[in-house]
Amino acid sequence: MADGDRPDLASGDPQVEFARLFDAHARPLRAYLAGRVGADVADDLVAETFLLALRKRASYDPERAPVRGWLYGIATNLLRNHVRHEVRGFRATARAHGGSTAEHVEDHETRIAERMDAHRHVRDLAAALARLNKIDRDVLLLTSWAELEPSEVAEALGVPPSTVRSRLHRVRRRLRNTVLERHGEDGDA
Amino acid sequence: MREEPGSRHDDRLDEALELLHRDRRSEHAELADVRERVLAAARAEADGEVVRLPRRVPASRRWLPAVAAAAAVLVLAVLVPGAGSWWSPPDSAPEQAAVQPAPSARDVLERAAGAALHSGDPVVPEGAYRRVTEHAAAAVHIRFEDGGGYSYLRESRQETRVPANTGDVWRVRTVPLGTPRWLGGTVPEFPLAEQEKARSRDERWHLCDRGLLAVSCDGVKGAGEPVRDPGPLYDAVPREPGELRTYLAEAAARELFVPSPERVEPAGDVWDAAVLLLADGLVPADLRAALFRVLAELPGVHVTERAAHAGERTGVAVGTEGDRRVREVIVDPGTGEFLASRVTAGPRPEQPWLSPGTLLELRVVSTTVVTGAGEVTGTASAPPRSVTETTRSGPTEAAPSVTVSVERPSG
Repeated sequence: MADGDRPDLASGDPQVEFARLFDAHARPLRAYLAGRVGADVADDLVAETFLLALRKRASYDPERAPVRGWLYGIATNLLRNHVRHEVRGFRATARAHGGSTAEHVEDHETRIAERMDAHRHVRDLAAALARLNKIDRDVLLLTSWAELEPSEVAEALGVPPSTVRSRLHRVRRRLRNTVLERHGEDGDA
Repeated sequence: MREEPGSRHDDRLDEALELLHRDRRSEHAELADVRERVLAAARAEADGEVVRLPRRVPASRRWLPAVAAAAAVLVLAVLVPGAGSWWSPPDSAPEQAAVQPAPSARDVLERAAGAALHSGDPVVPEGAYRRVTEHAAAAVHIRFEDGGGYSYLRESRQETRVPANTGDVWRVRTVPLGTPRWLGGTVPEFPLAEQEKARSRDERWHLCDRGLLAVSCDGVKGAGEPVRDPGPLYDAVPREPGELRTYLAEAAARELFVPSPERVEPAGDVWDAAVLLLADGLVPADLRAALFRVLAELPGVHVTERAAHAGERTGVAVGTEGDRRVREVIVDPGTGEFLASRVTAGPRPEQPWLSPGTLLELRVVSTTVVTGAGEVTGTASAPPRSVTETTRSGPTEAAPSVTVSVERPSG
């Protein structure tokens, strides 16, 4: 079986297969990686992901799962070497958002409140993400930013789908606690 | 907190997730060069230029562990280049040091600390910038699950312009230079496409702040609202060497340490944290002096090269030698300038396909004060040697690629 989601990378013409693979997945993968480690590093990681995929293409089994999870699994492994970079980025974002909210005090009241809420949420979320362990961050962001299904996340991370679901539930609950409850928003939820 | 799945909390969490780093994620990326690089490698595979490929894993076996174990190890490194390049000594390397008495590392660093304190910090007039230029040659190492892998070299130049008010938007430009150079590996060499031409990322505005350990431009990108005035840079970092050493150890454990089977230095290793500060180009003179003194007191630090080449400068290299890595800083003890950081593979390199003695990292950094138009306005601790900058096409060429004004050390 070979289709767009499950290409026969091992036997097909590498040039043809990887042109298709790149065109189908490079842009969303780059967007996901840019969110995590910034644009400059993302460009390099996209290249490294596909070069590694090319070299490791025989290890992809189309009968097992769609290629997307496999590809993001390679990217996730590459991201492990950028943990420090990513965490520092989230921390810097938290501080930058924290410093910017005061700039809007003169704006329209409603807009002020909405923007400041959003700023606070983003700031606190960034700070919380910096504190998460790597696998929880992977589970959350592969789901939210890369829009992978739990089964694909499971394939990417090498854990059972049930583990992905339980981790996702747990991390979202924790983030709701830390990100939203700090601002007294539990009363109307 | 009351847990209410599907509630407005979930919506707001999703909204925050959507907003976080949205600019980065939605930015249009020009991937044509990356695509060409991947397809060039694919063509090489199709043509049989790369012959060793993993065997097909039987369907009954999980494929993921193999992929997971194929985690690529991206490490900065530099191969020892040919003599006369910007990162290696010219043939006419200074010889006078050979006849001088050998100084101790403590002597060198103490002298550099005193000179730094004497020179002080540059004055940055309103409207002017500090310009920090870093020229680095670096490599990426990819490791496969079978222990093999490959390495290639890449070179870049980064320029950072920091306004007088460091809370204002900084300007950062990173330019990849030349074509990555194959360094070696357990697989046959395959073609490496020329690095992406610096287009969108060639000239990019970043919001930066001080970070927890060093100045960070990682968190926010794109022109936007300035952060609040953070005050003097590094004002919270202790200057007393004992306190500073503790601070560096804690910061290193928190910020720098990434567990790796290849790494042998413990969490909280002070050397890397100190060098990270010194090499950012913005450390005040008194802190630079304190950092030199901290390095001087670390175990095993000694003079490794009395006439070490760093761009167009020559300084004294002091460092510490480990089994995997030899780490050095190159300083000018006469002016108190930090010129470069350098890492060399030890007797047992982390990447076994590289030769012991390979230089693993070299970052030549210089700082000057310029106007908004880029004109040099004054000097800090040493007169500028040049104000011209040129680039080179690749790391293998011998001609010096960068000539920068050097007014103040990077640290």
